[in-house]
Amino acid sequence: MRTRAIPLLITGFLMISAGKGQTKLIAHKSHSGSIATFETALRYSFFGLGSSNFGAAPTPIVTDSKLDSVIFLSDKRAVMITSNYCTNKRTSKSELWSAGRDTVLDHPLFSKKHRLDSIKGILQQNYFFRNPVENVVFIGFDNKPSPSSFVPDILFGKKNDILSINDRKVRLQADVQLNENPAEILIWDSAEEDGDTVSLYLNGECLLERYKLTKNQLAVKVKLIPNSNNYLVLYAHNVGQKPPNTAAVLVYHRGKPKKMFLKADSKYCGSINFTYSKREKRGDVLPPYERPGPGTPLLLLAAAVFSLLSGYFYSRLHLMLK
Amino acid sequence: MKKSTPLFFHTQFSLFFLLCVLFIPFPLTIFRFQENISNFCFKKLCTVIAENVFGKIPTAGISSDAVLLYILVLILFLLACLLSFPVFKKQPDRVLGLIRKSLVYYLALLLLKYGIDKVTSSQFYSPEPNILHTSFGNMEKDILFWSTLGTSRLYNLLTGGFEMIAGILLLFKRTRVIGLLISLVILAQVVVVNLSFDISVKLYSSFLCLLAVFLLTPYFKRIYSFFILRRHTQLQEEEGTFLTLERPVFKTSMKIFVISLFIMETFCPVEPVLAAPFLHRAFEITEGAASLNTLTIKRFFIHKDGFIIFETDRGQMLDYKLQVDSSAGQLIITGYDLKTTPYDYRYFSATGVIELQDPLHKDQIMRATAINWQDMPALRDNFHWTVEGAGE
Repeated sequence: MRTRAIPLLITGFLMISAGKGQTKLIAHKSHSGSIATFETALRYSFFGLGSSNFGAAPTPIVTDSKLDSVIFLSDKRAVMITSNYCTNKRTSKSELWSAGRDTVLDHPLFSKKHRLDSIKGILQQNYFFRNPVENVVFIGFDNKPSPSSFVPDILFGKKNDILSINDRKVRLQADVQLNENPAEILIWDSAEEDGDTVSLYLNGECLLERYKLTKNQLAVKVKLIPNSNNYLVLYAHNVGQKPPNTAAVLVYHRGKPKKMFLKADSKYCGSINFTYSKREKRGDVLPPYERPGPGTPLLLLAAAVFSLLSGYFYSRLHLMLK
Repeated sequence: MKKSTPLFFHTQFSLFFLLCVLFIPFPLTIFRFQENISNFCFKKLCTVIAENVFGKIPTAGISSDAVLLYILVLILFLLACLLSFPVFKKQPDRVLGLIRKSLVYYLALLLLKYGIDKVTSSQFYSPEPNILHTSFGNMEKDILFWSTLGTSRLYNLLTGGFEMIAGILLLFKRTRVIGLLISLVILAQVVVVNLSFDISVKLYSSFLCLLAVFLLTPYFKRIYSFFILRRHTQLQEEEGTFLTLERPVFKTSMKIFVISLFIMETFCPVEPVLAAPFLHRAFEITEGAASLNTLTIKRFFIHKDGFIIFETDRGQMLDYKLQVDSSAGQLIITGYDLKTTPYDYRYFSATGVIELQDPLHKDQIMRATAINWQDMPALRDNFHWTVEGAGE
């Protein structure tokens, strides 16, 4: 027993526990909260004090949003109707604390009339609303191709690599390993703004369609397939005034920025291969998402049964050896 | 064991500690339902007592050093007194033996849990940029102490390591007494710190310390005889429980159960580990109108728990709940009055510059640059054996 316990404990020792331990008061003071506002913070779970207790690492509380519906108004405007819930992972109770109806201007996903299936795909991949995308009510969106929509013919290789798009050869220009999933990719025109219009694909899914590169960085959140190639491909719709199209791409790896350049013209596409081999982490504060954990009572029961069986076999073995 | 007054008190305290273990909702991820049970059984009663007897309106629920926790402990003590009569009437020896063993394993689990929290820097974590920029005198003792400990990785490793060693020693019969002695020293120090620095884990740490004292009581005479009287002495064997006397299978099972609980607790994340949030940085205003409720802002900080803290030119810190909608490019700021204000933002990660647009004055743009707060002296991993080395 003694010798068996040691490796188990060492394994436990090496594991990383979640959350940061503190009491409610210290949690409040850690973000410079004053005593005067402490009672308000306690009253509303929105301020996130629920999980802090007894100075130990707390059970996390997750605030997650539900996308109820999206209404298309014009090419520039759409209305998103969301509800926000605060889920206590300890009690598994969801509490509605506010609801919102937001008119979004020039939203990359909702404002332009993209195909409904494409919107759903991107919602599922890049956004983490608590409800499945099938439950979202879309008003004014359909699957008719818009005049500007671009349908690429993508040829995949055997290892989830992309060989060509619309007969343009895909050139691998960088290979990057990331330790975060979903990852955030920043893209912009690093040289002069010369009207470069591009489409961006990850694993064949369209991230940006006919996007005009500017000096301003555009953040795109992507979900990578673990232990696989994830090809981010830049397709040039024009070559601007100074060919080829060059886009700067920045990602963070272990907290450090990594800047790369993607080049494409009318004959070839540029690509970066992202690989992700660690277990998933939750990243951005928004949009949050919920991942169901294993049922605790079931785990406890399993541990109790396991312990009893181990104890039984151990005592039998002990008797036999005697 | 002969029925006597000490045995009655022993029964009473055993039951009291057991009830505390069962109903004080310690946030173990694997016992998440414990809080529900405690709330269901005692919350209403505690609230009625708090409001009518003590005249206090409880807001913090049954949590660390909350009014309701003190009342809960009081109720549990009275309940233990009542229950001790029927238990005492029947042969309590073996029941007490089982309770005692459970309490030892509970203490072991807690020490292992606090130990691993320290070792992984989950308990005393590296201070946030807003804390690092708050002047020493403006912080209260508890957050000051908590943040100071978070700056030293070595301290956390060593103290966490000692706690884990004490927890492991408690699991085995041969090392239990030394484990209890080490636990007592550790927990007594924790109580002293909590009382001295006004840290709100006073009641629970005192409970754990008293638990260690209680578990040591059968050995007091022998320990006194050995250390003080310097007599040859031998620690007595632990009394068996009705489960373990004839059936060693239960003894092994209990040990494996505690170890698997600890491993499960350590493996949990039932939830994935939270990565640092987007824009988790400190910013200094470089240009533009930077005012908030007529106060001039010189810096602002994004806290890992989703808060934005504005530092005024007078050193005052104002905190707001923050939600970042990166797709809409908005920082949504909510005050304690629950008023929400969306600020349009643009962040240039290559230069660390952020631009915020005042929602009321769209033409006014506040520009701020990220500060390298990770390189502040408090976070530097400095260690010097010699004073001369400190100057290098």
